[in-house]
Amino acid sequence: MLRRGWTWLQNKITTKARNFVLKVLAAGPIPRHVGFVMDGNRRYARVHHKAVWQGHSDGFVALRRILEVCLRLDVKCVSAFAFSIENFKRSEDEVNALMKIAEEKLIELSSHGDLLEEYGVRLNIVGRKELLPEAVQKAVAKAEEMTRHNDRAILNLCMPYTSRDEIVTAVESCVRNAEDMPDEIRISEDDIDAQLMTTLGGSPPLDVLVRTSGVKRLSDFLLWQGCENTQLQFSDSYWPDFGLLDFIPIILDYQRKVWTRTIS
Amino acid sequence: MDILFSLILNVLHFIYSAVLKLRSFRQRHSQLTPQHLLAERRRIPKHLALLFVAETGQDVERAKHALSESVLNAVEWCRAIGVQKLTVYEEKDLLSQCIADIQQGLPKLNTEEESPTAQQIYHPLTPPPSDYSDSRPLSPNNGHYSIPFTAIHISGYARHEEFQDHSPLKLRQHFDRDVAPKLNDLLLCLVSRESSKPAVAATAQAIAQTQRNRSLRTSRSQKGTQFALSVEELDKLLEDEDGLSSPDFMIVHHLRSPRQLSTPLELYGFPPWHVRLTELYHSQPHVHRTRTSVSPQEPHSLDETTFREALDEFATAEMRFGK
Repeated sequence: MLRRGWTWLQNKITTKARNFVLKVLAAGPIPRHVGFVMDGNRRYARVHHKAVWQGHSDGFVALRRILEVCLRLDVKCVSAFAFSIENFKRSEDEVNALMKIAEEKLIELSSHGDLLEEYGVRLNIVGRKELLPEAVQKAVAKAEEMTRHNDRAILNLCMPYTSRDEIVTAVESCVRNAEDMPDEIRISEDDIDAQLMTTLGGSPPLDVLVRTSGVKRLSDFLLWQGCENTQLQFSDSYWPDFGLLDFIPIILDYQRKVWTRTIS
Repeated sequence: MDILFSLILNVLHFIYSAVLKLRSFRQRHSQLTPQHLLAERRRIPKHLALLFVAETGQDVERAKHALSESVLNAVEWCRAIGVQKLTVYEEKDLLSQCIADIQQGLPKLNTEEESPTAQQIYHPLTPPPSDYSDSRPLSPNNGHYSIPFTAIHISGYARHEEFQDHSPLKLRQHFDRDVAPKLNDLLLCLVSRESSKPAVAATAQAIAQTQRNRSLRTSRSQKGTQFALSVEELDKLLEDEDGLSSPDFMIVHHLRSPRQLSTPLELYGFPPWHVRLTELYHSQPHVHRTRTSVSPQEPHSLDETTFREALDEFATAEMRFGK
C-alpha cells in the first residue's frame, strides 16, 4: 500500500516536472513536423534479456511517450517509421509478432479516450497498406476512420514503407496526371512533392528527423522530405529508452537554428 | 506567465551554449589520434561522398579556394586508400567555378610513365564550366534525361612532387613521404543541387513525354492501361555507376572556422534517391592540428585528421539494412 502510494507520488511529480519543462520549451520556436526512425528495439530486448516481441512492445510504449511530448509541445505532425518493406525479410515469427502488435495497438491508440482523441490527432498509415495481412488492414481502416475528423495534429505511421517506394509512387502519379496536360508536359519538383504520401495526408515540411540507437543512416525513410532544411539527429539511445531528456537537446538545437537564421 | 517561461528558456539556452562550447573545446583538444591514413581498416568505402557547406557571408573566392583544396586533398587520400569513386556535392554550384583549379591541381598526363594518368569530363554542370567538357545533358523533352554532373577519371601513378609543382593550390603533407603510396584509379564526380530533386522531376517529365509519344503511336485498343513504375525502373534511370550513384559513406563538412559552434547535421539538398543507405558523418575539425583560422568567416578546408576520423567511424559502423 505504502509502495503504491510512493509510486503514485513519484509519477505525479515526474508528470508535473515534465509538463513544466515542456511549457518552457514551447516558449520558443517548435518544429512543425518531426520524424522518428524507431531503431533499436531488438538490441534493447537483447540487452535487457527480453524476447524480441517484448522489445517491440516496449518500443510502442516509447512511441506513446514521445508522441505525447510532441503533442504537448504543439508539434503539428509526427511521422514514425514503424515497419519497412525490407522488414518482411525478417523471420516469420518476428514479422507475425510485429503485425499482431500493430493490429492491437492501432485500435488501442485510436480508441475513445485515448491519446489521439485527447489531442485531436488524425492517424495516417503511410505506405503499401496492401502488403499488410488482412486483419491488420482491417485494423488500419478502422483506426483511420476513428480519427478521420481530428484536425489538431497528424500522426503518420509509416508501415510498410520505404521512401524510394513513396518517390516512385509520386513520380507515377505525376506521369499519370501529365497525360491530361493539353500542351507541353511540365513536371517540377513541387509537383512530385505534392504527390508524396505524406503531403497528400496534409503533413507540413519535415523540420527534424531523429534516428535512435546510434545508427547514422536514413535507411530509406523520408529521403525526399529530409534532404533539405531538415535537422538530422542521431541519438545513441535505443528507441524504447528514448525519452524527454534525449529530446530536449534536439528541440534546443532546432531553436538555435531558427534564431540563427532569423538573425542572419 | 509566458514571459517567465521565455526567461527560463533563455537561461536554458545560455547553459546549453556553455555546454556545447565546453564539448567543442574538449573535442578540439582531444588527444585521441585517429588511425594512420594507410592503416588497415575493417571496411573502406568503395564510394565516398563529400558534402561541402559554404557558409553565408563567407568570401566566395576564399570558399572556392578551400573547396578546391579540399577536393584535391581528398582525391589524394582516396587514391591512397583505394576508394574507387568520390562524389563531391556543394549546394550552390560553387564546384562548377572550381573545375579549372581542380583540373590544374590533378596529376598531369605523363607519357613517360608506364601507366599514364588520364582525365575525362562528362556531363558538365550548367553552364559548361570549361573547354574540357565534351557533352551536355540532354533535354528532358527528347524522351531521355541525363542527370547533370562532371566526372573526371583519374588513373595511373601520380608523381607527387610534380603534382605539387604544377598545382596553384598548396597541398599539405598528407602522409609519410618515405612510404611511396601506390595510387589507385578514382572516378571523381562533381554534383550540385541541379542533380537532386530537379533531376528527379526532369526524369519524371521525360518519362511522361515518352508515354505521350507512345500513346500517340499505339492503337486505341491498347490504350487505357494505367501507367505503372517500379522502384527498379526508376533506379535504372537515376543510378549511373559512371555518374551519379549512391555513396556508401558521406562526410558533411562545413567550410567554416572550427572555432565556430557546430550546427545540427543537414543534407543541403543532396540527391535524395542516392542517400538511402549512406552512412553519414558530420565533421568536427581539429583546430590545433590544422591551419588555424583567426577569423570565424575564414573558410576551412577538410583536414586529414578529420578524414581519418571519419574513416575510423565508417570502419566500425554497424550495417544491418533492415534484416
